[in-house]
Amino acid sequence: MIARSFARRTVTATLLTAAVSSLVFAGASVAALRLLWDRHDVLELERTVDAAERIFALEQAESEHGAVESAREALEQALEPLDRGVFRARHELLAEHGAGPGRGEDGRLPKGWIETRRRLADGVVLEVSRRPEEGVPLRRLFWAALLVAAIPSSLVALAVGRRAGRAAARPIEELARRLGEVRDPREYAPLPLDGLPDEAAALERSFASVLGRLGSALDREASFVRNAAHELRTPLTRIRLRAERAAAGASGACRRELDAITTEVDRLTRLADALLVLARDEASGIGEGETVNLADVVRAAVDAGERPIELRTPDEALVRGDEALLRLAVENLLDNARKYAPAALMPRARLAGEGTFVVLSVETPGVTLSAEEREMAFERFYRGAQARETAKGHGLGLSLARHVARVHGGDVIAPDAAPGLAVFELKLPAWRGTAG
Amino acid sequence: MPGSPGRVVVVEDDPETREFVARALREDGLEVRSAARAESARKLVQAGEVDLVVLDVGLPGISGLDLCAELRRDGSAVPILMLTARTDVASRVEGLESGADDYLGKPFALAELRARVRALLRRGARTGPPEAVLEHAGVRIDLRRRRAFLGAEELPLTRREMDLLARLVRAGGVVVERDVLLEDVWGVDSPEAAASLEVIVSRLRRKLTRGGGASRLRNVRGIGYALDGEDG
Repeated sequence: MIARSFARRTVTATLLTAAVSSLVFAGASVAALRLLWDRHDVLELERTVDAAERIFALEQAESEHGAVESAREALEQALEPLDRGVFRARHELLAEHGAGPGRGEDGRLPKGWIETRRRLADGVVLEVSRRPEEGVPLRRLFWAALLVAAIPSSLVALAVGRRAGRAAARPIEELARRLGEVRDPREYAPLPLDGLPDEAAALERSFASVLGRLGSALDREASFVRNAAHELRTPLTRIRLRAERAAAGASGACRRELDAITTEVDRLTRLADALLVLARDEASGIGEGETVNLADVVRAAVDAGERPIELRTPDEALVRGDEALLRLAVENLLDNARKYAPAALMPRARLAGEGTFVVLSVETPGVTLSAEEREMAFERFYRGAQARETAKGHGLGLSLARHVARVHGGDVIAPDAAPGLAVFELKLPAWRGTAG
Repeated sequence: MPGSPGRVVVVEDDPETREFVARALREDGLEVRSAARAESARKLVQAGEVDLVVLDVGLPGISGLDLCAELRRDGSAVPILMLTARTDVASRVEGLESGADDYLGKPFALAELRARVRALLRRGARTGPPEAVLEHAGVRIDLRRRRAFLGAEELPLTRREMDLLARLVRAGGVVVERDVLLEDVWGVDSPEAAASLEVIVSRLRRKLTRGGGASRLRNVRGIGYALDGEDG
């Protein structure tokens, strides 16, 4: 498993370091201890041999005993009960002590035994062997050492690693938090770079530059769309005034054509409005807005279309917002249903209050949308396969409706529906009174 | 009111639009002058030669909003109908806050412009500074914020409902004729508008009585409507 945060990675790394080094140091100290012990045992044995040699010399000098007696005496006095000692003089056994093992056929002592051999005067040889006392078993010692080394070093590693990791991650976390709070790239204020670690400063610089470019692109885009929508209105006003004026004096077919021009101008005006709305940031909202009866808006939009829609709605469904924008959203949802439903099937719209929301559900029978298509449908200028064939519409409808809904604190979603039915829901916060 | 109540100045920088509007208003028997810039319109208003200003928001130099605010600061009460290319609620509120009496988005229908001009001329110049709040029979309407209250409770009124109620509150309990309501609120006296009036009146009546208050929308058969309070 890979630790995912900076802090956790650093902690993992320092913990691993601590574990490996505890292991190595525990092993090394046990090995050193072993060496020291062995050395200690050998010295001890040497001292025993020294004592035996001294006693043997004394006995021979001061007493009338022969070599055999002296040797026996020396072994008895100097050796420990479990040691094995042998005095030899030219392959002749003078004295023997203890019942330990002798050399095997290969001339070696059994495992664990140590031996010292010394030549004395007159060809006498003294051999002493011993099995050193078993100390604490080395394996246990090793575990103990490991434990003693590992616990404090792990704790230290944990603390240091965590601090170091956090310190390293902090500027990045801070940057992430601040970037997360950016609603409008133009409002991003970069951190002062001094005091920041180099890596974080580099990140900060890059983001500031990207956001800066993004901000000016947004500015350009918004002002372009605003100007375009605004500039469109002057000629639209002229055309509408001319058509209206001409229609007043005309009759028959001519008048119908002029009225159609007026209708087209109004449609074009709404498209200009749509562009203006899309140029506005979702988060900017619509201010206080006014009270709008969404039921009236939906009824009017249903009545205005050429294709009938089966409608269920209460008399009133009040929301707060911008009526023109809401009409735009509703019209786009209904127009989509009209456009895509096969001729034999009637689209349906249902408006109802649901808790603190007002929900307009628009159903297009005869259309099945995959989860992917439902998501794609909200992208600007995306047009489904069918729409491309019939070449109607501008591909702004759903993204526009969603944008309007979000500006109002709501949303447009495409819930999962049965095959052969496409459903889009416009959800808006229901009207609530405010203090005067 | 001095002079004939039919002198209008149309302030609009697009010559074609300006001429169309001027011609249409002349045909309604009004005395129309045109101005391309705010400065010339200001002179006419200050000279007291104007009963109504049709004012475009997007003028070069001094904008329509600025001119409107300036005229109000100077104490002028001349009715102002604002024409604008921006039609969202925020800009409408902005327009009304600068002191405009009514607001029309471009492109507009000439018929609607004429109806609004007639309604504003009928109402006449205001006697004081622009009203911010209307009150009658327990109903309070904050015109700037477009909010209506019955006592302390906000009433959920749509634009039409609010316009109708504001018209009745302004009349202060006096009966307002149906055709006047249609002209002032709907801009037209058509069968569709009349049907809509019925619907709006019934919704308004329901909203006014929901809290059990004493405000009552009285139908004076064959004539019009009035808003009665506890005392009326």
